Amino acid sequence: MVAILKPNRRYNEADTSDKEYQVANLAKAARTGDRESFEKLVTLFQEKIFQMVYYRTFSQMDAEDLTQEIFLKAFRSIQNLKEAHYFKSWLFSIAVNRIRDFKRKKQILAFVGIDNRGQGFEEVERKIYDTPQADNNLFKQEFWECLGLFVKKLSHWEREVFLLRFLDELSIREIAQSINKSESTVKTHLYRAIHKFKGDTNLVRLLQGERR
Amino acid sequence: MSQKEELHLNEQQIIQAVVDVTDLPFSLQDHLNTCPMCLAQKERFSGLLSQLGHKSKVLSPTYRKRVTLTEANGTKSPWLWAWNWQRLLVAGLSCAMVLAVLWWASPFKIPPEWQESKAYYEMWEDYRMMAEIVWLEEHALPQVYFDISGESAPLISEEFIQFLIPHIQNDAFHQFKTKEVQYVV
Ligand SMILES: [Zn+2]
Repeated sequence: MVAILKPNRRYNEADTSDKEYQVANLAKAARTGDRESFEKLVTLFQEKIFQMVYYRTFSQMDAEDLTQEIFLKAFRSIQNLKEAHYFKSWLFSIAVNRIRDFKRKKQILAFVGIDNRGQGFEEVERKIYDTPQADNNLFKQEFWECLGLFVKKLSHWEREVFLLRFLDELSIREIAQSINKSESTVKTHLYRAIHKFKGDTNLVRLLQGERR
Repeated sequence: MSQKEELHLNEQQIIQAVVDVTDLPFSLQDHLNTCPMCLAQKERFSGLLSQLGHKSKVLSPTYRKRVTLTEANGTKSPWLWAWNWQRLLVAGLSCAMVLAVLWWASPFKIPPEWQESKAYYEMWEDYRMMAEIVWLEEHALPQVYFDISGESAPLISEEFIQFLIPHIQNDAFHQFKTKEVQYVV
């Protein structure tokens, strides 16, 4: 009975450490100016970074532009990376900062009335309705809507930590390095965010397969 | 059995176990490893969070481009170029507003020549008020009294009254004055 209920590993630990080793080696080479190694790192992480940006902007166009910018910035400053095996955390810290800057600029421009492009869930909604398979996308729309409403309930750091942990799948240590906070602070924010998640019946029901 | 039930993890402890199981006290970690109920509860909750991550991946769009490591003209969106001048414009307007507020609130904003003319104005006001007080002192009685006394009648001058009623001691006085003058000479 106990054996059946043992946690299912979503990935193989040996594979993960192999990948980490590979990433560290590539980062070490890239740090010395090896462009090819950096390009391999791009291949390994571009999809992940794109998704990470998308979870925070809900705009494909912005996510694509920002992904490009994040890698370009990482490429220009790879010499500043002290520890090669922290490449992933370092890359995510660049992404976190870039997204924060982007959002600030967008807020200022929206405030002064210069930027009136659709942003957030309205844009997601519009895109979903524009697609020919609108019926199939109802769940998609409902999911992003619920997730959007949920993350709005979180404070800035609760949101960042929660997304990094469960959507971007970073470890507590990697999150702490990415946002330059202690592991205990990360855990405190995570605890609060999970507590709020548990109380969000709409999102929980949707994930359990019950429609609102 | 009843002792084991008492030790079941509560909601907070389940969440704590999801965050980091090693943060739980050893007794609770042991319980979690041996109690199928608590473990199932924790796994159900962890599974829900894993599903959230999985659904996010599946339902997010795919990356259509490929990152290029050269700063080509096309890599920067035109909106970023627009941002540069817009940023300058916003910064300039903000500075102007701050300066305007500072200038408005400053006690030194009145130039010295303005302050001088203000002093002159105050002096003139004082002078005008004093003149008014003097006039009131001199004209303390109402107009009707002046009418009765005849002071306000323009035709009844002192010369006219002298004509009507000549001064009795006029000649004697004149003589005295003449004598006095002669004496002095
Ligand atoms: Zn139990």
